[in-house]
Amino acid sequence: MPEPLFLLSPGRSFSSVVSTMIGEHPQCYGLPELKIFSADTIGASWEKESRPGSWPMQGLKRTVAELQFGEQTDKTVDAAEAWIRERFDWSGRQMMDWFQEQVGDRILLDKSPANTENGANLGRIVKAFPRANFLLLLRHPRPRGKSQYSTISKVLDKNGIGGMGFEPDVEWKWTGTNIMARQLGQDLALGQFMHIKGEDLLREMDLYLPQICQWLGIRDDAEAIEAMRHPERSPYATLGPVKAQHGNNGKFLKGPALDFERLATMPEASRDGPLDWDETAEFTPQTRRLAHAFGYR
Amino acid sequence: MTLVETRPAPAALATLPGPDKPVALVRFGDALYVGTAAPDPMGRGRIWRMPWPAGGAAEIVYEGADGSAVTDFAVFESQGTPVLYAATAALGGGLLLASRDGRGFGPVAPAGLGQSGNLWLGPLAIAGGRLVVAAGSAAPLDPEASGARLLASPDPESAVWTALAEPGFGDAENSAIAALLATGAGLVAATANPLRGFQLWQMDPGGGWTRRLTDGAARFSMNPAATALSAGEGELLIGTGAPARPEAEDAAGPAAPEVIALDDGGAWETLVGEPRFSPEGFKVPFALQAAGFGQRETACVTAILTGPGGALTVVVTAVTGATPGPFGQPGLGASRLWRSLDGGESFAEVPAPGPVLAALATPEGGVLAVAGDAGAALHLHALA
Repeated sequence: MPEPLFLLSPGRSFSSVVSTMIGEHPQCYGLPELKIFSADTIGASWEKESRPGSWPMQGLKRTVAELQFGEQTDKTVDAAEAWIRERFDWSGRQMMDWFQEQVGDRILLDKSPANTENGANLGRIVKAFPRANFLLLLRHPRPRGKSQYSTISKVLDKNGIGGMGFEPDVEWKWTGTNIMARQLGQDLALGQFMHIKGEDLLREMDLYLPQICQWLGIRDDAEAIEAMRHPERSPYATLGPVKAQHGNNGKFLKGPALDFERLATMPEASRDGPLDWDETAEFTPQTRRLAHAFGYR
Repeated sequence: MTLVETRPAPAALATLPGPDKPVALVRFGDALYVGTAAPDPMGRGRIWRMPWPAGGAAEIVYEGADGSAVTDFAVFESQGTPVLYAATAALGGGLLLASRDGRGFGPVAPAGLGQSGNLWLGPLAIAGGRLVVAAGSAAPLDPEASGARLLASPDPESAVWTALAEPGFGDAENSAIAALLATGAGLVAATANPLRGFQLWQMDPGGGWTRRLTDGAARFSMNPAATALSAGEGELLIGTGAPARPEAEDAAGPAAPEVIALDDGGAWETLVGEPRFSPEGFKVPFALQAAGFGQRETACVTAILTGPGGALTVVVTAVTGATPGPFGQPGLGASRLWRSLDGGESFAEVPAPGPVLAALATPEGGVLAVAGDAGAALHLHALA
């Protein structure tokens, strides 16, 4: 069986669309956000990833519903949850192995942002899959930070705690995650870890999608590339049933088809100038150096 | 794999007493010349001469002012006679020195070639019947370097110099000219560009320039400079390097160096380096060796020596401390020598005698200039 591919990113970095695109390759299987490496067992991850007012582990439930019960409905999601609970003692590796059995020799692709929330989660993945491939997906720190800040602000406002002095460090989320990922890459075998700017990939899919295929050792013919250009065909690229609607970025789920014209002309932001979320500050030298290393202006 | 012997040359031939660091080598007539920099920024650059290949005691034939360093040499025929030129860096402006007999050296142009910002002259090259001099404010790998000028003269002693290109080739982020090489296809100039990665420019016969590589060959600031150029069989070999940065480990670094091959058609591949996606396709190092040959410390390719039959030796030297002032030499770690007998498809490490700061291919073999606390030494390395 092939080794899985883990797409690493700090979130808000095109990860839903890019992972779903790669997952649509005939030799791949793109998964929604599983979050199964947040702890040593599925049960512990479930508990850790459960949020008040939200259905837990929606991506995992959708995947089990799809693969075990053949469709994603309220009924199969309930059945999936029961199925998962019976396997709360499984490790993330065991769950991935089960998925692998279901999809055959296709490359499983997981992109859960939880995977890069801390070194422990990432270490758990590497321990479970020491020969897996890792793709660090990048987005310019300014629009990524702006997007995350906006989302967090909305959540804080919704919960009535906006304006109370809590300021998320969205810049460090970008910098810290990318440093952690690069350090992982230095410990892996040559070619096991790659990075790509999401902006480049989405602007020039015909240039970069074949390269990703070559890296993974899978077909890079026109038919395969065309399949990758249609993330909307994934069973996880739409809002799911009520109890498991998400498992991917909500905006992506509401409009998963690619707007090629818009993507081709996507502007690139600048490292310079005040932060969009804090006009009294600019990016730190550390963030700027890292952005230089990735080719961001 | 052929066993390669790296052995010290006879002591009388190959030692330079004192703390000077050997940074430039050239053969001129029946002697070998070593240009040195002092370990401290206010020290004096010197030129040492020793009989070659006959051997004999080394002697100092030039000593610069306080705060100077010799940076490079070139042999250029001026008015029908071969002349040895040496470039220096100096607080009052870099000098271009000349010697017809290899014993007496004197400046042939105003300090800085007449421009006050040119504290650092070098590297040098000969192209199109002209002596070409790179000029800037500091050592090419110094993060504070600026200028990146390229000047040329068909008659250096006339003191008439013309700009071969716009400063920095029109890109303000090109901070210095880090390497020059005259090839059959034209002069090649490699820049240092700490923000965007090095660029490689080639001059056509009409004097125009074509950018052959940019953005550090798609590795951006992780390839901030091309520090070594060499003509291989049908291709240009490029070694990269980075200055020491105390913060190198915290975010972007370490920026271990690569060896890149650029063919005449403009296609490039890495022989040694970091796999990556690029505008020119997916790049996997031919030799399946990671950047720095697996050595993570900030380092430079000091030299790439080519030999017959596709043999090549890559010298990688670790840089462990920041440059002390504009002309001081950075702290240096050990060098490693990597040798290929198949044009770069595979490399094997061979013993290195110490920090190798300069290297020169000669008919007798590769001369490696090695820094040492007790004095510099020259070692002979088999090229074939």
